[in-house]
Order: sequence, then structure tokens, then C-alpha cells
Amino acid sequence: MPRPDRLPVLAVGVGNPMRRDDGVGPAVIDRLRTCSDLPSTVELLILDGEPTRLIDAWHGRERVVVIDATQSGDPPGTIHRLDPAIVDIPPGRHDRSSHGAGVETAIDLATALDRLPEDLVILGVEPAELNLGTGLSPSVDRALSELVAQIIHEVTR
Amino acid sequence: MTHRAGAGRTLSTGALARVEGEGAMRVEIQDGQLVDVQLNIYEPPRFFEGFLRGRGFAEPVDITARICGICPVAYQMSACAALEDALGITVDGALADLRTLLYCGEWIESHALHIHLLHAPDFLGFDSGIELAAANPTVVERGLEVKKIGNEILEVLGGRAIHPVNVRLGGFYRTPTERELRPLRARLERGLELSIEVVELVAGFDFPDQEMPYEFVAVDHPDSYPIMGRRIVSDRGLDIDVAQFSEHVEEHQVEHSTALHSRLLVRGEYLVGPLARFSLNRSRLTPAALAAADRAGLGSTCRNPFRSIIVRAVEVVHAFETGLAVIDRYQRPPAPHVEVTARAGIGHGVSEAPRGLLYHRYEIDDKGLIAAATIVPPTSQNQAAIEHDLRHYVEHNLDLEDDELRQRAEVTIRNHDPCISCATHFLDLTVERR
Repeated sequence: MPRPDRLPVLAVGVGNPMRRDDGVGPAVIDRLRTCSDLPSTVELLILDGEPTRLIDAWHGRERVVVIDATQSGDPPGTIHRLDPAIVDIPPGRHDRSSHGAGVETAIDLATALDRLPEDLVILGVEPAELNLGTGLSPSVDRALSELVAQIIHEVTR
Repeated sequence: MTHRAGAGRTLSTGALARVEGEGAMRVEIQDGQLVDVQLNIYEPPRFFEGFLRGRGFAEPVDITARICGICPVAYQMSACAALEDALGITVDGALADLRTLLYCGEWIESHALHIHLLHAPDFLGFDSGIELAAANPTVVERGLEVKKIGNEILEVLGGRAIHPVNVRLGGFYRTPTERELRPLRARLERGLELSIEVVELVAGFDFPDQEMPYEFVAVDHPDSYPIMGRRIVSDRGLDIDVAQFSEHVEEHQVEHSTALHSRLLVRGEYLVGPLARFSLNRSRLTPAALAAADRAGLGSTCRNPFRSIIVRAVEVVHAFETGLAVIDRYQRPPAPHVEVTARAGIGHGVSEAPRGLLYHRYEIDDKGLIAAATIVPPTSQNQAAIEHDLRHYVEHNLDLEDDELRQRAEVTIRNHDPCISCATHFLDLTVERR
């Protein structure tokens, strides 16, 4: 159900900038803030991935784009476009932590509570480095421009 | 499905579910006897202590907030307390009140998350909060509404939901007007009502009969249930100024963990967190929280770690009522913060994170840079006590099937709500039988 007090489209970057490439979501949101191509219907938000905050942020939106670091084994900097219906996590990881399985848990919890946005896209970026520290690795940093373009495409399609 | 077998048996599980953070726990059983229990956590605060050295004296307030997405306010408040101690300034009146209100928001959010998505499934027979949500959405929706109201406090005062940006040394960058705080009042009233229902719900769970001989340690405040303060007390006579923390608490490296374990120099392991706060301060709860505790059957102390879920629920009631009192007496202070000037010095600060006492110490050099930082998070202080709980539980339940033993062991750990991002990197549980 759309909410009049909220912009209809949300782009939310999820991650922890103190964990190197886990900060790719927040980094791309920061870059979008200076981007003149961004429609005024889009709200930009940074979250740490704690599932219930994500679900609250989704509420009342027509379209949601989530940007997060995702590990699949592809080369660092690879951008994946994921359909929430196929996002899955291995047994045992489920709901283990508000930090470990944030977006996946948010999707499952929102599904259980019938609060999943109708139009939800996840852009996952393959990280090179997830150790403690600041700054993106060169391969993920190089992917930011393409990621910005993809987000603009998703929010305007 | 694994079954308990005789000697020579080893089994391990995947990640320990529903603990906020990551770490590893190992249980070793030989010839039907418990040989060893080890909790192994990886600790970002150690990294942050190094990261802070050489930075400007005001920076730890923002930087340490990033240690934990669940309790950034606790890190900010302990950092402020320690740095303000070093700088010789005092923050009181309405500014201190606003800090309390902000902290209440964090207690509400963190406890509501733990109660509903992490801990309640253990008592209601579900493997996860998601399963509970699917089977009983009303319970989870109510929990999420409580949590959201906590989040609204953080948004009004902190500027945004995670890593509040409005907090600074000496107070805030900007304080709300009375008018801006007013809409929160109705929300907190609603939260108070819901939180009392939550106490009733969790008080009805079945709890194992287990009393543990913890030494309870908490911040002490002369006239209120502790959130911030300058003294640290225990139920066995510890009563010290925060500056004496390191004289009484020793951090030591244990072989199996990258984290430091803490112990009281004289008496050894101790427990911080809701059970300790409650047992040391029951009479200082707000009236509705006290009445809820009475109805829930909580006595003068609570030594049963499983019943910590009731104590957390009572603390949520307390946080709502405390927040309401702050809003009712709030008058916008003339300045949003106390003036702060760099000077060399050493300062100590402590506050009650949702999981327990969080200690910070900073040394500022004559250039106004951080020369040394020490951060002792609640989870590392509780590690020895959690290992003790686990040892106790496993020793008394060696005849359980491995799967059940593992599941119950996980609950034993979850009882203390160990925090992931501030204390651990990966939590695996291994049970080895030889």
C-alpha cells in the first residue's frame, strides 16, 4: 500500500563501511547523492542490513532497489541482479544474526509477514575484501560507475 | 539427524543460529565426561582501539558507533563519558536527559529484536524468528512495532536509524524543540502499553529450573535504574569509581580465543547485562516496570539465565516509562552542547549497553590526539560466565541426544544475547565426543 509520506522509490545501500567492500552499498548511495540523473521520486538510504529496519524502510514503496555485497565466487566487482524469489541462504545460516544474513532474512521475514514489496530488486556486488578496515578494494571501486548506471536504470525503468 | 553415540564420537554443526554476531563454541566430551568448553570470538573492538590512535580527540564518538549496528548509542555514550572525563567537562540537565532518552530507544530496539526474533522461538518451539512469524504473526508484529517505536526515538534524536549522527562530545549538534519531541509522546504511550503485553507473554513461557551463582556487576546510579553513571557495583561488595575499572578487572588472553576474557581480580568471572542490572536495581525500576516484574513473578533477584527474556521485557517497559518522563519535563536547553576544548588527559567512561556494562578509556595527548584507547564490551566480559553456564548445562544433560544437546547449548548462549558485531566474527558450535 503506497504511503503519501514516503517517496515511491527507495534505493537502499546495505553494509558496513568499516568492513572494506561490505561498504559498497553505502558507498554507491553516497555517490548517487551527487548524481544529477537521479529522479526526485527516489529516496536514498543507508542501512546496516538489520532485517526489521529494512522491512520498515520498504514499507509503502512502489519499488525498492537494495544494493549489498554478495558472495558467489565470481570475480570481485561483478554485479549480480537478483530476484528476491531466488535469493536463498544455506541451511544453518538462516536468521543467525542481524548482520550475517541481513537481506536474506529480511526477505524471508517480510514474506512470512506479507510485507515484501511487490517490486524488489537486489543488486549484489562481489567483494574482494571483507576484513576490518575502511576503503573499497580497487576492483569494487571500479565497479561503482557501472553500479550507479544500473541503479539509475532500475529506478527509472 | 545425528544421534548420541559412545566413545570416539565427533560432530559439529553449522553456524549457531540467532545470536547477534558470529563466533565459535566447542564442547568436548570424553568417556561420558565433559572435558572442555570453549567460547571463541573475534573482537572488532581490538581493531578499533588501534584504528583510533592518532585521531582527533572528538572522533571516537563517531568511529566507535560503527562497531555495532545494534548498539551504536552505547558506544557513543561510553565514548562521550570517557572523553568528557578526560576533558573535565560535565553534561547534565536536559542534555543528559536527551542522552537517556536516546539510550532508551536503543534498549527498546535491541531488546525487542532479541526477545521476538532471537529468544522467543526457543521457548515456543520454533527454529527461527521467521518460523515464529509465519506461525504467529501477531506476536512478531507486536514485537516489531515495539522495536519500531524505539527506532523512532533514535530518528528524532539521533538523526538517522543507525550510527546516530547528531550525537557529539558535550551533547548534540542540535537539540529538538519541545514541539518536535511532542509527537513521540503518543508513540511511547503506545509502546508502553504493548511492552506490558510482551511481559505477560514471555512470563508465561516454561523455563528450566536453573539458578547460577553469578557475581552481578552493573553501573550504579544513586537514584535511577542504571543507564549511565560513574560508579560500578556488584552484589558481592564491589563498589568502585569508573576510573578504578582496570585496577579491579583484568582482561586476559585465553588460548582458544582471539578475544580477551575479563575477570574480577579478586573473585574471577562475573556477569553484566539485564540479569545483573535487574538484580542490583529492582527497586529503582519505574512504577509500571516494577508492577510488570511483580506480575511476572520476578523476585528480588533473577539468577535463572533463561528468565532473562522476562527481565529484558521488563526493561523495555522501564525504557518507555523513563522516556515518557524525559519528554514530560523537557525544556530545550539554551545550547545544544557544552563547549569542548582539547587538553591532554586520561578519561574513563561506562554505560549500560543493552547487553551490559561497556567500558571505554581514552588518553588524549597534548596535541589533542588519541594516544591510547581501551574498549571492554559486555560480551567479552560475559564470555567466562557463558562458558560456565554451558559447562553446567552440558554436565547435567550428558545423556541427551547430540542434536538436542546442541540445540539446548545454543539456547544457553542465546540467554545472554551475545553481540556479534562487537564481539565476534563467526559462531560455530562443535560438540566432540571421544
